[in-house]
Amino acid sequence: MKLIKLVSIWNPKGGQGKSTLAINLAASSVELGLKPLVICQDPQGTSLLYYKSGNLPFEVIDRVPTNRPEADIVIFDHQASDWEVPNNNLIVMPLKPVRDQYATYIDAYRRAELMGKRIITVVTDGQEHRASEKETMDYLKNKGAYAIAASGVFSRAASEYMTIFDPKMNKAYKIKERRIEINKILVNILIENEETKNND
Amino acid sequence: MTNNWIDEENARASELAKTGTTTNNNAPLLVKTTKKPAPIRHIKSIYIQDSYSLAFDKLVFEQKIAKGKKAPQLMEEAIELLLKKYGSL
Repeated sequence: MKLIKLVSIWNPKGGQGKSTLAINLAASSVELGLKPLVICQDPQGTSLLYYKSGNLPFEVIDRVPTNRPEADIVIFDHQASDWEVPNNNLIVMPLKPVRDQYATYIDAYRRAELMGKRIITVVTDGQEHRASEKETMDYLKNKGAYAIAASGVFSRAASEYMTIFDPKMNKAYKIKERRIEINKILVNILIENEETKNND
Repeated sequence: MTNNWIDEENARASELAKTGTTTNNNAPLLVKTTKKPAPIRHIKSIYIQDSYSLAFDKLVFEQKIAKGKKAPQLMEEAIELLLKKYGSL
């Protein structure tokens, strides 16, 4: 039986980029020739809205399927305010590099850490020209986090409910860099037994 | 590192993690309600007499008012009894 990679995108804080990361990681895996499935577990249904637009080259469903899905990677897009640590062993936690956002992230991180989860931290929407944000980004990157810089490509893609991997985005400013950032996270997800550093 | 708040937040989070609570433990927490998905069912057409059909419709209506079982569940219950009676289950 084919192994399916299960990933939870989780952070109880809203607006950190969970849905954006979920659909873009799925799109990145399509580029690699994999078949992803996104399970939207958010009543806001953000990733479902993307799917309903018809621009996604993969499926987004609204609940956990009863039968084993035909997929290589299943990405769970969790909702904000969800303090329950996901069951999946691998958790991707996006956060913005600002103190009040970090406070919630680190509370949730500690919970997941206590349960022995493998956690991949992704700093989103970081503005390098802001000293405080840059320092926080650097600190987290030193701890093994990935970073996705603040970029207009995400809002541009969002305006048409598509991912940044959509061919329509090919000529967008610095699209290559943003795609590489997402691809790097996906590669880490796909690597078995990868140990991520702790945030101590 | 001029962002010395990170150490403060890390220490605070570590202490909080020991208690297993949230920063505001009095706030309402999200409660997940996961609906059990319906089993896969198939259409089975059979001919029955009017009196049974009407009686079944009445039963379904009464169960609907009482927020009880729905038609497929009631029919499955009846079939289960039949299968037990004839030793097929």
